[in-house]
Amino acid sequence: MTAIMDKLAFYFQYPLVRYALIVSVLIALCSSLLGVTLVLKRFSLIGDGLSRVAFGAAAVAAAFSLNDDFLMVIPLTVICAVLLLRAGQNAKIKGDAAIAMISSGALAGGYLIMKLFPKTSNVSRDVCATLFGSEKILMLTKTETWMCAILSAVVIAIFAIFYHKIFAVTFDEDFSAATGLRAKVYNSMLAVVSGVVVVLAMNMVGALLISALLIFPALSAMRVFKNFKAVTVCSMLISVICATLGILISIVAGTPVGSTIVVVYAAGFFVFGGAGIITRRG
Amino acid sequence: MKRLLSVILCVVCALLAGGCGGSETKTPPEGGGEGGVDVDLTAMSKTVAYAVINEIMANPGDYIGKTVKINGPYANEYYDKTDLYYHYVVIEGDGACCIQWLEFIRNGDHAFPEDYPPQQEKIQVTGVFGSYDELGVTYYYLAADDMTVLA
Repeated sequence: MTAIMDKLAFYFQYPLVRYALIVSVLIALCSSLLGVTLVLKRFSLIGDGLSRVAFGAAAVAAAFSLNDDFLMVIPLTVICAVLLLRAGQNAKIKGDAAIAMISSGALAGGYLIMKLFPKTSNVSRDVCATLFGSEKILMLTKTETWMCAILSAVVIAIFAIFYHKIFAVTFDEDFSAATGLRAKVYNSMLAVVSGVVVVLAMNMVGALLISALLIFPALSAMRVFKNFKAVTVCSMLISVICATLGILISIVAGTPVGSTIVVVYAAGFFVFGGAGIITRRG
Repeated sequence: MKRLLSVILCVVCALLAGGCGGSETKTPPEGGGEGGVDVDLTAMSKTVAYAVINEIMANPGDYIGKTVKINGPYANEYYDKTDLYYHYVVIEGDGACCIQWLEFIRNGDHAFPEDYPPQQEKIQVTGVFGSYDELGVTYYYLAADDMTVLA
């Protein structure tokens, strides 16, 4: 144990490790907050769809040689999120079909663009890093670190300010609208937040594993708790603990960051699943 | 709940001010390493070593003059425009797709191929990080005092 603590102390001398941990915790907080709402609104797979859009947008940004791809990735992902979440209910192509269509289309388009207009000579590395995260969280530039931190703070602030409205829109959009709440506005706000959180989370676990960050904490908390507030608080705690553990394990053991974090989230789900069974029997 | 989220927001802002603030660069702590080594990649896990080498190559100016210790498979490459062989330590990331090459030039007289191991042989190199210009391009390398073939 002392050896591990010494090892961690050694790694924490490096600012890139400290930044990675701070950004991971912030992203974990945001994704857990959003995850509860998305699971309850039955939009669990939207993270997958949006992450593929973000991948496609990153490929376009690379083709245009944009130094800061956030400038292209965030707006494009947010636009798709708004289209999916707002139009999802009334569109001719509904919910899961629209997500599947956008998801596969953006992934294929992104890969094609990366192959035709490669940013570096090693396309497979770029694709691998974007899809699985690789060590991307440890390689954030200062600007990216600040962007992640500020956007995370904005997402948390939105949830803090509009908590009751989000609660209402999550459970019954039509009833909320009937009571005079501008449900469409809050739905659009949730869509924007979803887009931003997905882009941030891509740095942590890559495009293919984002759903885990959104879904596991909420589902784990729902095994034990049954009300919105308790589930949200528990989900935040689970997410922060799992993300911290995951990143520390991968740093010390040298395992892939994204998959280690997701496996820890999955382990957390089984622990809470067990706790839920025990609680119900008790 | 609103109060809790507000508290979290305050903590986040404090974290940002403490963790990311100031004029701190992303360079490692000054030269306190073992045997005068500033950046010892051999003591790091694969994940962190790859991230650090990436950081070194992304911001080479911050590392010029620092002593770096590194290990990994040896590789060489012949470049016909200069008619020279170049020698590298290869650093692999956690995924099979991510690889960084760091060039090293051994101090003293060393003949090629007699004084170099076969490709892919694991080596350890300690040297001072520096740069040189060739054909109008700046390259970064380790001026290696020591190159050991690892068993």
